[in-house]
Amino acid sequence: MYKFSVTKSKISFLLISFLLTQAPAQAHHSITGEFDTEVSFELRGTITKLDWANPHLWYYLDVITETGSIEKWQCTTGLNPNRLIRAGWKKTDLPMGSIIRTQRSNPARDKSNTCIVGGITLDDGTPIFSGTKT
Amino acid sequence: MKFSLTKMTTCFLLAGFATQLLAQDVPRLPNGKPDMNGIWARPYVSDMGAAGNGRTQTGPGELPFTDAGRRNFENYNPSTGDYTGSCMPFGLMRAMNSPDPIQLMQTQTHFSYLYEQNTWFKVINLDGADHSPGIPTWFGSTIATWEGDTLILTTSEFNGKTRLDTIGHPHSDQLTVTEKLTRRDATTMDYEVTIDDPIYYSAPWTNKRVFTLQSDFELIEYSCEENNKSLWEGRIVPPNYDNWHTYETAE
Repeated sequence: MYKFSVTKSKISFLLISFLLTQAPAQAHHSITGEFDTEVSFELRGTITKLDWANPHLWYYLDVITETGSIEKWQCTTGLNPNRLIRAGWKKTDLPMGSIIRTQRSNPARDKSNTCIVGGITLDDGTPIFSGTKT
Repeated sequence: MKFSLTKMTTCFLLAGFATQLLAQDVPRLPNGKPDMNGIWARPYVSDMGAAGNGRTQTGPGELPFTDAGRRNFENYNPSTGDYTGSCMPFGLMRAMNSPDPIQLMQTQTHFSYLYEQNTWFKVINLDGADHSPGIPTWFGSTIATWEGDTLILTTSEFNGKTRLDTIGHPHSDQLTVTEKLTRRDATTMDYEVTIDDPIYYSAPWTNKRVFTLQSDFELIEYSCEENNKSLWEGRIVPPNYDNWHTYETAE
């Protein structure tokens, strides 16, 4: 079964370890109005859907909490599919049902289960949608 | 110190020869003008005032704000109204600053910016005349001239509804943008842009970049509107142009 992942309640506790994160680069607009870039955390969850569309990709995750319940999250990235296509990536490179970990995630200011991520990896730490696909 | 005329002459001749070699790398149209056609990668410039890396992007380091400019910039808060996040037209400078490739399409009579960003375009007549429609627009109205092998694009008549860059440096409807494009060699273009806005800046200032030819690229359609969840779900707020001041005057 899936291990415990960071929940919203846990995020507030982890605020002690503030990270001034660098906002995910190269979004087409300022992200600070929508996301709190003073707070950083990581999520681990099962990918259930991927929006491979402009202006930015969206990942939809089922995150298992400490209590075993599922929190549904949606996380975006500064990347758009055009850049990924040029780097050799396809939407199917991330199979649905994969477990992923988000990197350098910042929460939405509206307190919804929404975040922006600096990148994602597979559960074993392999970066995906990062750099040029080899 | 001895003066060697021979050595100096040799240096000048070598420099001239090198210049000729570089100039030969620049393709030309039948009218002899440098051919700037191609898809170019350019640096993402989120802050036109920043000093930059000195390679692909060099800014002034500090901007000569007027009091109104400093007030405007310090009060900028995209959470109260974000036109780019709302997929509204970026305006000339935000479109030039964006990280996505740009295609320059040039004939002997016209020059065009084809932006992959939001699949926008801007067409400029190269006859040197003023083809302004007589109304302010998002991307302004441009007069093109040549200075040797440098294409100079002077743009004004902006509607003042945009900002210069991602971090929000302001501009008014009194802005004049002067762009200078010089194809340096087969794969490199020098791009220099000067911002002249007497409302927000006490003096013109300049930002320089280097564009790199990407001969293996093709532009890909980019619809900003097709999945703008952040706007649809209310996390991005459109700008309120009913209360948009195109400029403030110093008190």
